[in-house]
Amino acid sequence: MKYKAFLLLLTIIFLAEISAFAWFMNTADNDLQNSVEINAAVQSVQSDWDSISTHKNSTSLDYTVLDGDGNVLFKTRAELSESINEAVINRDTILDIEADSGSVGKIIIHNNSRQGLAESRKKTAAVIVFAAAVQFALCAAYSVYIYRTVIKPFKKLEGFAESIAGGNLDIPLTMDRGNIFGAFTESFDIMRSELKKARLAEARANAEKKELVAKLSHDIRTPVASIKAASEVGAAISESEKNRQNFTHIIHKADQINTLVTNLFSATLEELQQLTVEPIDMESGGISEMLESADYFHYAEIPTVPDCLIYADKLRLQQVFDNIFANSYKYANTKIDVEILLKNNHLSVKIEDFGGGVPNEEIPFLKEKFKRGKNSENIEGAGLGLYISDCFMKEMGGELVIENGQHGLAATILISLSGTI
Amino acid sequence: MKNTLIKTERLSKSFSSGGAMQHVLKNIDLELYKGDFTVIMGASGAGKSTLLYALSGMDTPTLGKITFGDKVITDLSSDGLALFRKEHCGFVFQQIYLIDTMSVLDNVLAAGLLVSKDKKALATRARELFKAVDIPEETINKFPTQISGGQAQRAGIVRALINSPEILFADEPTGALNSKSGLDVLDTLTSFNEQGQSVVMVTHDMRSARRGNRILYLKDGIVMGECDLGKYTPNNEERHKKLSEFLTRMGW
Amino acid sequence: MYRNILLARSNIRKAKGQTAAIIVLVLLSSLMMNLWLMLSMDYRKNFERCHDRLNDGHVNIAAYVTDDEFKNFISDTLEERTDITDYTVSDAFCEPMSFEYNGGEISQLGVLLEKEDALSRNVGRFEITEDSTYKSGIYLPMLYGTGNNYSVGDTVKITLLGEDFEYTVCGFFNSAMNGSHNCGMMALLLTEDKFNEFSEEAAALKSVYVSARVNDISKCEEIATELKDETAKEFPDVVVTSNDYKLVSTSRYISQMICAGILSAMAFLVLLIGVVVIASNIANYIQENMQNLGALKAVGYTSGQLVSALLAQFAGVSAIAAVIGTVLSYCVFPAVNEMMIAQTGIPYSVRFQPLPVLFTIIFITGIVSAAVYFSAKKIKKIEPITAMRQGISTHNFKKNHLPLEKTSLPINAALAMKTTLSGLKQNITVCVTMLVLSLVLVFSATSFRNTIVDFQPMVEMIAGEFADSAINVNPNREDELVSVLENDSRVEKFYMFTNNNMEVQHVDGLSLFVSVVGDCSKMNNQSMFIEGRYPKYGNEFSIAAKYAKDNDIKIGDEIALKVGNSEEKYIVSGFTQCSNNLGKDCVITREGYEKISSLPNVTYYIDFAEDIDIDDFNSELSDRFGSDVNAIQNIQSILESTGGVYVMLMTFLVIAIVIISCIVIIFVMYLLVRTMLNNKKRDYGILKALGYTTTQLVVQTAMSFMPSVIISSAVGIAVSMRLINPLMAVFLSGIGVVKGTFIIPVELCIISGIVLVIFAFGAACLMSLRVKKIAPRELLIGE
Repeated sequence: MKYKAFLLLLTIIFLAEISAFAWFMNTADNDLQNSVEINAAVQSVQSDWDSISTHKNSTSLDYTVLDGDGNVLFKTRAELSESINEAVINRDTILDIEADSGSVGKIIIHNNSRQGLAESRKKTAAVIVFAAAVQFALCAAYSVYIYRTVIKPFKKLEGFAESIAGGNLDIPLTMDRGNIFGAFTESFDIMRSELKKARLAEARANAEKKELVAKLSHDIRTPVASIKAASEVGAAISESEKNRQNFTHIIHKADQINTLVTNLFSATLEELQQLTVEPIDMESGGISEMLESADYFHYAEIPTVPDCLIYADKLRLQQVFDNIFANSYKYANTKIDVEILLKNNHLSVKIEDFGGGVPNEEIPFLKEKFKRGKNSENIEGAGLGLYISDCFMKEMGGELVIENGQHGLAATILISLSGTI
Repeated sequence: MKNTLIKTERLSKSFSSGGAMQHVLKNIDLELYKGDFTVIMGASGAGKSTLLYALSGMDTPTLGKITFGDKVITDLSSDGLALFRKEHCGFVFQQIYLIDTMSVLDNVLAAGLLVSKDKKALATRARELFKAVDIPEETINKFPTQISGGQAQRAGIVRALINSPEILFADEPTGALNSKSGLDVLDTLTSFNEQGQSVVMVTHDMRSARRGNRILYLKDGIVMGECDLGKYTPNNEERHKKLSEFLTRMGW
Repeated sequence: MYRNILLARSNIRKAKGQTAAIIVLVLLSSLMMNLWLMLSMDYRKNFERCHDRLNDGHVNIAAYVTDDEFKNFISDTLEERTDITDYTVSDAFCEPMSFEYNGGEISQLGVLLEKEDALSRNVGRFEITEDSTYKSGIYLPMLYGTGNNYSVGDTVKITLLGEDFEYTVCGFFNSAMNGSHNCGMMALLLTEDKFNEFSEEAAALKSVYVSARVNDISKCEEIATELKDETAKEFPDVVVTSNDYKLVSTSRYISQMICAGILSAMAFLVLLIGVVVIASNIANYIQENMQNLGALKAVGYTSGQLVSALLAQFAGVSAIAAVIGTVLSYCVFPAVNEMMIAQTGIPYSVRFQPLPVLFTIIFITGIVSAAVYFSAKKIKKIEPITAMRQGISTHNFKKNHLPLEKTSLPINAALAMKTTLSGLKQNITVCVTMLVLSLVLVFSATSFRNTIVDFQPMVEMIAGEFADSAINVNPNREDELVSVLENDSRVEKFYMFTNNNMEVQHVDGLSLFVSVVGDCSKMNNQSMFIEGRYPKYGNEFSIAAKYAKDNDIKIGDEIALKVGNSEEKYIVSGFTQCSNNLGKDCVITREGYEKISSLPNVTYYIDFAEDIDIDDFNSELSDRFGSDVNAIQNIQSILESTGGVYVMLMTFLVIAIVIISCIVIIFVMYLLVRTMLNNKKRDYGILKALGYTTTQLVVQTAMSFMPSVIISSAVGIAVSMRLINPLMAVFLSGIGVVKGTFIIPVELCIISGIVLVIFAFGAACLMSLRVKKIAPRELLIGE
């Protein structure tokens, strides 16, 4: 992978060098003359011909101006050709200066291509040195890279093997960058983790053994029961008192074992009820909604409910509230006070009307089956409401308290808080 | 008389999954005291970690109130809680949770620089702590994936303590470690506690629980009972027995 | 196949946001691409259709002065030529004229024709696009009926021969070759009574207007040159102006070309961003799903199947987005069309074009598929065992880039830098996006500076020389004019610059419009000489760069030019650029021109000091020189009126570009931040648990993008500022621009770069607000 990249880079550099040389070859002999500049020189000399001594060079060229007899009239600098022959030797450009009367003199444009040649040689040298430097840097970088990716990780591997041999299985083998050893490193590390796994498995097997013992103890109950049954038969049919005592002793001990085992795995079965109450944990916030819905005449002002988690059956609790409000509507038909408090392990909801209450002697019977107060003679009803409500509350671990309050009959529903039963 | 550090009133926490409500904590009233090594025990699913995260302001309870010192943290916004945490709490997690892309030291400093701007003092304190937890200097510049689990967890403790929190919360700190590393971590916690650091630790491992001086047993979201073990001393048979009895009574 | 679709569907559902962002990017790209294709493929053809419908000439000639002899001569000449298929010769008046337009002035060679005659021409027919019950007045090209210009019943004041003529606008007409001020000449139709009225007044000026069809359109330029050459030989005194199909069809569509060029560039750039985003998305997907992919491979899926599921997903989404984009482009097209018509002046009705739609959809889907294929190749390298065991990501070779102990950065910045340094992929995406956007931004800023704020640089680049005012007088009063100008304190600068549709012929080439200049160093628009230098001496001239390139002429070459029968050789001193005549121009010194011809009249360009009323000055001069003034122009006012359309167009484009850039930034940031939050959810949870607030984490996230945003924006803007002129030259190469000479507003570019960075930061902050949703409680998972 990296190797490919390296080769690619090398190739690219090679191609770059080739194209640099190609470019160099093509530009090397591009020393054409700038005819526009030369024209400017010629034209400016021509226009200044009559006062050539004040002529100024406005071009980037060097030139010499000669008159018709070959005398130097103007030079842009020293060391320029001063005669036609010198100009020919130096490959200078020689042009006529013309006036209305025809050719009046010559202009010699200096040829500076030798200077250009020196420059281009320097350029060549620079290109070669640069290319060599790049190649050197690349090779150096690659050998450093090889050291870091191959030699160093290999040394690391040695250290790893030592620590495995020493029994230290917790230190993972760090993967080398680029994963140059690939499967080799991986499988080495897999070996380490497999070893570690084997150790863990051993520990687990020990734990399971203990569990098995516990399970066996449970299975003891069955044989103990058989022992007990057999002993009872033995006691019944044994003739000697001593034998019977022995059997009785066995029976007692078997009972003892059984009790112990039963204690271990005791399970209580709830009595099956016709109306199932399934209390669950719920947030107390739901109560205000339930009260709102029970109080459909809006006789009461529902106070805020303290935040807590209660243990109740939502459906049954709603039925309890419905029943109490319905009773109040039926018998008192006044405004209703609702008070909600947190009391010890209960959330207490006290619902009191302003109907004056019932005679004190009737209070104890109100929650009984088919009992109705004296004031209920002309009102429909079976006398089951408060009885069922009371049952529900008991099922939920709470209580329904009926009493005469200050203004009328007060029903206090105590809902147990979660986690208190 | 012990100083109360954290007080909860009818603390409840519920989760809903797929419409069904699950109440993990139920009306918990609890006080935690300064200087204690409080251990919260219980079977898995009993709500131990939930309680821990609620106490530490990592999570907001559904109902109820938590007072930290004289500050009610249940009223704070999520950013307010973040500020509270960085000021007052340190955390050690079961999964350690060091950030993999940062060196061990940087993990610690990332927590420290939140509170203090004095880099030098922080680095010095970090080095002291690393020394105290027995992590050598050359390890602290490694990455979390390059060190062993025990070392990582001890680094986690350093991170938790870098800001000298009033209380250190540890969630099953030995859960992901082998027994030897686990012991090291417990020793570290114990020694910091001896220097006065309040610690609250959740565990379901008796060996870890033994380190606490106050054991709370959580079951089905309520505190079933608690047990005062007194100060930890190594190889104390009586303590051990007392704890075993307590746990048996709790139905461990 | 069905299984692939299932896989793709579940992937899309899991990443709704990413999919939406990719859809938006692809949609923008396809919208612009389809618009571009419609503009470049059909819009130009609309000219051909219009030209065919009106059976318009490929070569039109307006001869200023005529008699029957000339008329016969031109008919005979056309009849003899085998390359002319058909022609129509009409009586007309051809004179330079001007009238108000867009708050400025239009000045062009006017061709006045009689309405009924014009409508019944065989070749070069005119058609009425809006008529009325007015029976006496003028019909204008429909271009002048757009915007807030003229409407039926208005009075238009036309200045001709130094006199004002007022006509009622009776309606508007359409003409392919002669319907706007971009055609080299402009027709106006007079009702019969007004035409006769005008003929009585200016009987001596009667001219002809000839429209001719040729059998080979590519030769129309040469034919025009030859016809003028023949005319000049026979009637040396007659001034002849022509236009041809190539010139008109290009110059009437300049704005359409610019618009299409910009749209295509934007389309490709947005697509590039989209592709980078998709590639990084896939790389991320592979990393995240390393274990799943390994598992799928373990149960026997081939890499090919997994790759093709990804292909189906992204290519499918892109194809749908591309279709929606093309549909949207049809919703936008009418608005674009209206703007285009304000410049072209040729009616165009929007219609469905299947080819651009097909190309857009196939091209975009293809590019996306290729990107998906190449970035999904990594899947092939996943070994099931490795992937399932831990995933490659846990092989951690990270260097501790920025030890917190040593850094002097504040903690949030330091953590942000750590994120930056550890996320190469996101940095690449950010860099590409920001590089592209900074190019776009520099383009907008440059356009803003050079067209909207100040139109002059645009004029310099495409229209050549300008000044405040120009006056053309007969040569006998020239000396007097010069002395008047020299002694007037209001005049800052003046110089001889004559280019009244004068032409010289390049021997072995086409006929070139020539500007004869007294002293080139005085010219205002020195950037017109893009290479070499202006002509200084009598044996030099400079030639349009485009023409030189087409004909392989180099600086320093000696070229023969001729007028009539006299011919002379000149050295090419430099190249000029100016798109007025689509790069068939040359500049020559007066001395040089007078070697082969004499000037019939001279124009002087004048610049004034500040706050001088140009119109007042002009009317003073025209009073003084009376009938010797052939034309006097307020050039600033002309620039304003013709530039208005371009300013409007560029304003629209700049606004559109800025909006699109904002959308792109927002969506790219959305994708990056989302990916980052997904990848680093655990780290964010830990940091939150340690007490980092949401704000701190949001700023950290946004800051982690900033190094690459800032660096790439800075590099992008610096590079773009260098690139923008060459790019502009490429855009405008069709109209003869070879080198961009726009002024680059450095401050504006830097400021908008800063705004770009701030905007990116804001977008990143906004997008990373979802950090809020990461609760430390998530660390509980598993308990």
